[in-house]
Amino acid sequence: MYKDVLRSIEGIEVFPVIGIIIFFTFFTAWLIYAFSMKKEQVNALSSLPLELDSDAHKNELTNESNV
Amino acid sequence: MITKEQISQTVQRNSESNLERFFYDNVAVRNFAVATIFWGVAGMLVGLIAAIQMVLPEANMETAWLTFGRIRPLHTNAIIFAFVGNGMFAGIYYALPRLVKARMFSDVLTKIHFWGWQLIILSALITLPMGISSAKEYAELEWPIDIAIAAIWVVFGVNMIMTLIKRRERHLYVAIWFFIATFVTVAVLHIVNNLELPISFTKSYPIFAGVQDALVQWWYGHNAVAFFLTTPYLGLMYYFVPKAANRPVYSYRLSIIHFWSLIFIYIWAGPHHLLYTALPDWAQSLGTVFSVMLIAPSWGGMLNGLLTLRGAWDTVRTSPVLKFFVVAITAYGMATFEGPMMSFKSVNAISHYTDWTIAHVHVGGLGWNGFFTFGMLYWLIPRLYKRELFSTKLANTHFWIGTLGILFYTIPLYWAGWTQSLMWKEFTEAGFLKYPNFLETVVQILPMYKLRVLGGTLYLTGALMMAYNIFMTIKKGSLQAEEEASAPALTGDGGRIQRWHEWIERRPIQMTIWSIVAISIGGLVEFLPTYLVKSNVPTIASVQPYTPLELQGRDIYLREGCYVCHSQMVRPFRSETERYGEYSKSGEFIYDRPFQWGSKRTGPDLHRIGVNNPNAAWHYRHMMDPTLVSPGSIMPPYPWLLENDLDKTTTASKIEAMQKLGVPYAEGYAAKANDDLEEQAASIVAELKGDDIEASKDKEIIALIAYLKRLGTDVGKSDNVPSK
Repeated sequence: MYKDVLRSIEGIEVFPVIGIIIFFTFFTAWLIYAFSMKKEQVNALSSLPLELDSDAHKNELTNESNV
Repeated sequence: MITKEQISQTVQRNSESNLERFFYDNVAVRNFAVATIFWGVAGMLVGLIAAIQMVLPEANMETAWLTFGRIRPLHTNAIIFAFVGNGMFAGIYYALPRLVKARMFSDVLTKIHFWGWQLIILSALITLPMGISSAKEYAELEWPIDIAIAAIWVVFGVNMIMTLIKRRERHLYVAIWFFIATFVTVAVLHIVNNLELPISFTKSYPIFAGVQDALVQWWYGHNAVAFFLTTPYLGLMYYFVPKAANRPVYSYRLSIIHFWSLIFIYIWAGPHHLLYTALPDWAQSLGTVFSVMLIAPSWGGMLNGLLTLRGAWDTVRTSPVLKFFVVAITAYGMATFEGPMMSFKSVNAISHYTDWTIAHVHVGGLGWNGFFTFGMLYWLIPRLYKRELFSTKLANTHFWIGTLGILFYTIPLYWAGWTQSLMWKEFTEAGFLKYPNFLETVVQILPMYKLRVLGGTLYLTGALMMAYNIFMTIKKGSLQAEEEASAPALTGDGGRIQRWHEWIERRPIQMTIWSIVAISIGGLVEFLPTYLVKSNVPTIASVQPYTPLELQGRDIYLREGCYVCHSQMVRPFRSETERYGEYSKSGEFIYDRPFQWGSKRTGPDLHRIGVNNPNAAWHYRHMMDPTLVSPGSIMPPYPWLLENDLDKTTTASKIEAMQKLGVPYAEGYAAKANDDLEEQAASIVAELKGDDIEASKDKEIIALIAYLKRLGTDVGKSDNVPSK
């Protein structure tokens, strides 16, 4: 039943073309985003793994380290 | 309009009670870490036994359980799901809570996840050697285990996503995106590729057949590499490499591009496993194009990992952890450059079905996954146990012996692959195959197989050193089961969102949904047309369903894992049509559930075996002991096929299942299928008798011979085959 519905789709062969257009649009958008990020934000994000686990938030209350 | 809630949140944000104390669960991390070591050693040991059997077929002790066709799936499943799986979970259960400053959502789910996963592995360890297998590479486990895998995987996913929801860090670090994509994609792949119709508790038929089954299988198989062996480990790379080097990742911008382009492109590349096969050309080309594009994100990720160590190279000299990471990331770079190269049709014409593929996957497996896991464990265990590593010297020794192991494994196999491929394709000046006997091309590369055994032994020795080193560290240290930490609760909306990506960086659920969208597009575009458009699989009028005896024989072929050494796909090259006969057409496979095209020819292709070698007595002797008819063969003997009685009680249910799946057996045929089976068996027994072989018609060997005699005979053989 559902197979017949899909079989009747006219021009199903343009699907790959649509896919590639979507992909490139996305890809370009990420590029633009990534390279227009502010430096502070980039630094904040990339330092996330390096924060000691007992570190409190920046610009929030800090707590004595227990490491 | 300011709500009451917002006011109270603002008040809370300004109060000092905002700091929350909580504890990280280190027990789960330790459990997964120990499991990855245990199963890693076990999986490598099984691999070593398999490697030994390639030069010494007697190493299967003449038991069905230990035969190559059964333990090779055991090796691949153990390494992928048990070794890398547990390694991934150990890493995620450590990194994720610390990245979001929250304990894992539920201790109960964590326990269910851990023990459930180990039970699944145990069930694989029992069922695969028994021959309970759905005969699809890396998805061999039968349907009840498939369901268990899906359930436990969802437990893991729920545990992870709920942790993200109750997090105390607003932004999701890039590693977490990789974890989310891993969870989502593996779930989708696993479920779709294992859609099967159960016949009994230990047997099922896939709902897809032939070309469609092949496409789904390699969409799964390739993306198992992508989303089980790659994305989770890239997430771990983005966490543990900065941790170990004590410096932030080289480029966070690059990591964003890396993530989205990788998950978007990877999903499309599956058809590169099916180049020159009967898969429609457009799908093959699509696979090639996307595979080549994959170089960009893969190398972006590799460079990002390696450049994180800029300025820290002097510490690499002394730190075993960083040494392992460097080789792991380098191996990742090599494998991800090589993969796209192998996806070019001209290169694939050489590499496919040879040991080149095996070498390639072991650069990834031994180098990237293995070494990254080792490095991570050497870093992790001392921190969990609040103690120095028992012996840094031993860890450094492990590094060098492991590296040697990788070299001794891969280099001989590259050599073997190229040698064999060149021999397969070589013609004499008169225009005949130079090596018409396949066995010549096998004997030629046996020295390389011996070197591979050495490489595997070295690598396993290193892993055992690590097991001892870690064991001693654990013994001398004490586990810090609950690690105390504190962080302010997340309150309010976290301020105005500056940019659109920030919106998604803060929302794990949306992130999950968009990841599904990203990976679904590729999957659907490739799969739907092939599945739905009839013109993709031209029908061949003369292709008929298997007879009951042939169907039973085919299931024995599946059970014994014949597909791990024999392909059933003659590619349209003159060298192949000369050797095997007419090239394979997509319409020939419409009743094949599952498809059995294979991906490695340790022995010759069997798609035209029924045309080339219909002699029942030859097959009978060959299965009894291959060296009787092919002296020097490295195929193990299958004496039990001559002794075991065929289980005819399953015939009716198999025919009924096939009817349900659309195979055009006559109405009510299941009831009399066994009569036809007996009749065909009697005719084979009579044929054997003509060659002085006394055989009972009730034995499994008779069914297998029936299947082999049938293979490839539906399409009339023409003398003048165009080679595309």
